[in-house]
Amino acid sequence: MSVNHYQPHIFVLPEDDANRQIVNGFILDLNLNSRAIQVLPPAGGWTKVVEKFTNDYASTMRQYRHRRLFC
Amino acid sequence: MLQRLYIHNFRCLENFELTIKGMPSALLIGKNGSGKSTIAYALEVLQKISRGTNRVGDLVKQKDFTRGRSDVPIRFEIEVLLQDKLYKYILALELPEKFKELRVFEEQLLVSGEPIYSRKEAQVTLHTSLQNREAQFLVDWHLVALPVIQEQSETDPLRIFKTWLAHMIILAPIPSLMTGESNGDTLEPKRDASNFGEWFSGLLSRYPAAYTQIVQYLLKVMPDIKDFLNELIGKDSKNMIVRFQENKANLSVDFEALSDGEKCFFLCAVVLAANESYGPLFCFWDEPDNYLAISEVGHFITSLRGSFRNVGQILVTSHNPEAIRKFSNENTFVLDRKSHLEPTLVRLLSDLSVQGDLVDALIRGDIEL
Repeated sequence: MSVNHYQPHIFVLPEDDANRQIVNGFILDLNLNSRAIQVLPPAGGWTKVVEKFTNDYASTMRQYRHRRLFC
Repeated sequence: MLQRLYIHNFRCLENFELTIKGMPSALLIGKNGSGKSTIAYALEVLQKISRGTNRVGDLVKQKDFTRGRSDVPIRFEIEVLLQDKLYKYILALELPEKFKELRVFEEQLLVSGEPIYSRKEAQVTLHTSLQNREAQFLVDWHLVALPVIQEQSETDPLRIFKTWLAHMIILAPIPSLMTGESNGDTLEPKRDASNFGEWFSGLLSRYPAAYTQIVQYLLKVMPDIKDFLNELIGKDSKNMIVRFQENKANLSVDFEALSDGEKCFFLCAVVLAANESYGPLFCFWDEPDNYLAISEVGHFITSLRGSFRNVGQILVTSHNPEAIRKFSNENTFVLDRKSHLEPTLVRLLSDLSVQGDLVDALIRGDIEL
């Protein structure tokens, strides 16, 4: 099962490929509930992060109140 | 831990060296036909030897020579770190003129640089060690010597190496062949996972604690799973049944009736439990993302990487963007081949300069060696 939308979960939106690789190291920690975190494809720059947050994720965060986004 | 694999003159692999020293998990990427799966076939040759197949003709055929070049031996070299000792096994196979079947040209097993045995054609020399006095004997040159040399004890380096090789997991599963039925048990899964039922039975009969681990993993991916049974359906035959429960309603499903992706979840659970139970294991999984929903791929790969982080080692291949993104440039190898007439090249992704996003570059076909 992918992340449970009705339980607290966090989406990580890496700004670029370097940030994606840092997050990859973080999610390998065995103490982490890997089902509560989902790493999204890198946005490709800070402007695009803001764009994606505004256009794609803000509305879903209103829909699923347990959702958090880390950019 | 596999440190180095060297293959020469085997299919598309010429003077091919893969060094994965210090990498608990690594990814192989590359276009179709670049040689990713051929690495699994080469490992399978060594695995078959340790599982008892020693007739050279059953291991490699004349068509396995690169571009039919049978005047040069096929060479396999594998270096493995086991219990802080470096094991090196070398096997070279040749096809002399007018021979129908390949024969052993050279074979050697070394531990920390000291030879355990060495061989030139039919002549085998067992070197002096704690277990053995030096001895020489002849072995049919169409037979590999590794499976026929008697192990002296549980701590015999020969046994340690052979057991590690035999327990190696090489997977390219075909879920439709995973029926959940078993006749007997084993700790030696087949590449297509068609003996999954036997492996599952073998794991649980020898390591009952593995059940808890399997259930724990499955509960994360299928929260409505209640338990699973391995019911006797004949004198020596068993069949796996999976039971689901939600809101006090129950459902029993034959393992065979599960979806392809769900069967892969079971396979993943057993791989993880096997590594914990009788590892450290080496696992090569060809395209583990096959059959999985896109929302599952990342979690699946992260589970595998996480579990092999402290124990064992896993090598996977993939074309899937989600799977590729779960690895870093330091543990991703790019394989490339200019044409079918040229050999496979391999480079670590961190040694290449990739413009922009990796997946975009792969889609554009821009990553070439």
